[in-house]
Amino acid sequence: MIYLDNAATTPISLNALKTYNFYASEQFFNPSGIYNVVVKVKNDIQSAKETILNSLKTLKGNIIFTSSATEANNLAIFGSLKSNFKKIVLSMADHPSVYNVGLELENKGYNVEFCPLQKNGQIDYEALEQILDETTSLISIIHVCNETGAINDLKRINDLRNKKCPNAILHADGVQAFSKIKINLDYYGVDLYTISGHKMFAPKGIACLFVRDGLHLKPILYGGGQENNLRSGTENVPAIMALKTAVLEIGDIQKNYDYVKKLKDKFISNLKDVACIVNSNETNSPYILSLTFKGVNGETLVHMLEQNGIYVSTGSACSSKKKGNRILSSMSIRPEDVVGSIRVSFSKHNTFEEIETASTILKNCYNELIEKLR
Amino acid sequence: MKRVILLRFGELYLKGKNRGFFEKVLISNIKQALKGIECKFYKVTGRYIISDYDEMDETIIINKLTKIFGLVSLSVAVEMETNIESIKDYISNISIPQKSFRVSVTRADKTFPIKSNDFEKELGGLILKNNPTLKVKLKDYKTEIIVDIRENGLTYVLHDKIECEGGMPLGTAGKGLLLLSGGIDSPVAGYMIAKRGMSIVGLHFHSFPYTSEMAKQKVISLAKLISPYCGKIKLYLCPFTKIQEEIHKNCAPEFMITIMRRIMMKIAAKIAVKAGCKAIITGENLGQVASQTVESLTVTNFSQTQIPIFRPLIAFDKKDIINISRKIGTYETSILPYEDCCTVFLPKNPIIKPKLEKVIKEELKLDIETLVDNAIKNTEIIEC
Repeated sequence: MIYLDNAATTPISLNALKTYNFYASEQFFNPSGIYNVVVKVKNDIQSAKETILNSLKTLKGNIIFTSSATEANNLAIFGSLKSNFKKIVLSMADHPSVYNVGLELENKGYNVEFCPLQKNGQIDYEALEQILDETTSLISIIHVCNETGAINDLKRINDLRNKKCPNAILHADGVQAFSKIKINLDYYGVDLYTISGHKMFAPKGIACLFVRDGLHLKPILYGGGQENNLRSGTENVPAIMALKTAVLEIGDIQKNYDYVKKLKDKFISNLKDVACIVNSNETNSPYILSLTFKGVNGETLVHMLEQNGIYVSTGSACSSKKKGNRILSSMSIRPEDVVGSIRVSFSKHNTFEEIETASTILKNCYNELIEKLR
Repeated sequence: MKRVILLRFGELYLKGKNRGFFEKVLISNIKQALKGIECKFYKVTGRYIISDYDEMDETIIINKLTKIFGLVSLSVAVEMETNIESIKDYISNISIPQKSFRVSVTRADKTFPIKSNDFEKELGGLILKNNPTLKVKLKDYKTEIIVDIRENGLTYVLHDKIECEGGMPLGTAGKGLLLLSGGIDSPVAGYMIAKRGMSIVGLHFHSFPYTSEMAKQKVISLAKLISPYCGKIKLYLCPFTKIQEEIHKNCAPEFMITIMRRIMMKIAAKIAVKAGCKAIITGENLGQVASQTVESLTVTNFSQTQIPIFRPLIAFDKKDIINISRKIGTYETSILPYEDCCTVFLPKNPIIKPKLEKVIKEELKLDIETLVDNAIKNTEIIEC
């Protein structure tokens, strides 16, 4: 098997799994207990938060654990909402867990605006500057786009926020950024930041929201008041601790980045004889590669690859029955090309050999398919 | 005194000498549906009774029974020994949520000393005494309390009739081969034909890699979803990729869909014979798409003459099909967005009114017999 769908999910690392098992079977206590053995568990959760805050390079906030990044994104947006909120600004590149929240808020009567994208997949900063005004109360922009790997410049977005609407709250979904590109939340100046465990070798079912000190969110779940009253529900201690282990295993981000960039460049160069467009450029995250193949259906390519034990995903909804792809369409890619898109996403564990094999097979599959469809 | 469920059956009355066969199948279907639930089943004149079940299972039992073809309605009843005082005692404590009611007494036991009309009045009076805001209405009543005094010394008191599916018991009208595409229509067609007593075998054409494993799984899910009505379904999964590629390669693009459907029918006819099916059932619907014009359907019909093609939805509006699909619980699965084999190789301008001779001429470019035989050879069979 050659797994090139790492932006969808990753396997749990062995050490993270060991940690998980330890906290699931031995240190299984409910942190809300009041007896002595609970103290260690509580302290361990706190140490996990500190580890994550350190890796996010921030000294000014707290971590709220949630069950998924979708929940964290919902908490960030719904938790920030106040009755006097006027304009909410999102982007066309946002993940459905932000984008669809925006649509829901629009239905509820809020003024929601979606920032358009440039051809390279990043948000259009000039358009953003036009959209932001003193009525803007909340901005949420994805840090690294899950479909194209385009990296949005959070510092620049923060500067625009400070210039146009200093009181607005700034949230970024960092699911595809965390552990893959260098992050410094204090430098960016964001108020809320989402990360997810299962995209970086921690288990599924654990994610978290960074909340800047002084920002008061409202909970979206009510109950026992765990996580500073922001996320009721017994803490998922095994997953939290496994996430900590995975964070400690990230290693040298720059070194990993450079290695994966070489994998991506190799993959692209192996496809140079094929009628395929690379929907990303040098500044994108090398972990995600969006490709458009002319004249074919991306889904068919995905299935041909799966027959060869190679797993990638479609970059688009690809049937005439379905809606087109929002993100690629926003990058001015023609509808007939959107249909032929696939997403290849790498991890630091992929090898050059795998890249060589996968790109050769992809090339052959495409040539075979185009021949059959001629 | 205990709770029981009374079952009524409909058209079986019409069956004269064959009634025994129809009843036997119906009873076997009821028992099969209630397999694994502890309860007793027995017959009294003109109806069946389910008794001795755990009251917590009552909703599940009712849910299963309402999906059995051949049953017209059912009612939860209280069974008691025939005794005037106990009947009166029970009736006077009965609670009626609606404003108007009537009491109907049926007296199969002619030794019962009070005449039906008189007993109705007496019992109605008792209810009114305890519920002075209620009104008796002999017509247009909201609730009918039925007191059914049987010959066997037992009386049943019931209200609220729950409608069942009606139709004929599954398995009394032979077996048919249902073409399941994965869309909204075909599971509904299967349900409709099963309602007339025909058992179902499924056939799905898949076009990997143009369609996904998920599309195949979707069809398996649909077959499972209609099984409360149609029983467990044997599903034939036939690979169709090669055939589509060959048509695409050799024939004029506008004939793609027509030829594809004709070859599907040829395969279906052969599989039908193999599986002991006496008809092919499709979800086709006049005028819904280009391949469902009367001309297209005619050309499809002439692809084989061995087996009749039944199209239960031929005159249905799409909205009516969707309503049934929602009722039987297949709609949400049917609309899952996976490619089905009809959308692959879709020509820009499919022929809407094909002429048989032209289609046959176009088909000469293919070795249809070999293609059909190979597809059948590689067909996989699963039990859903």
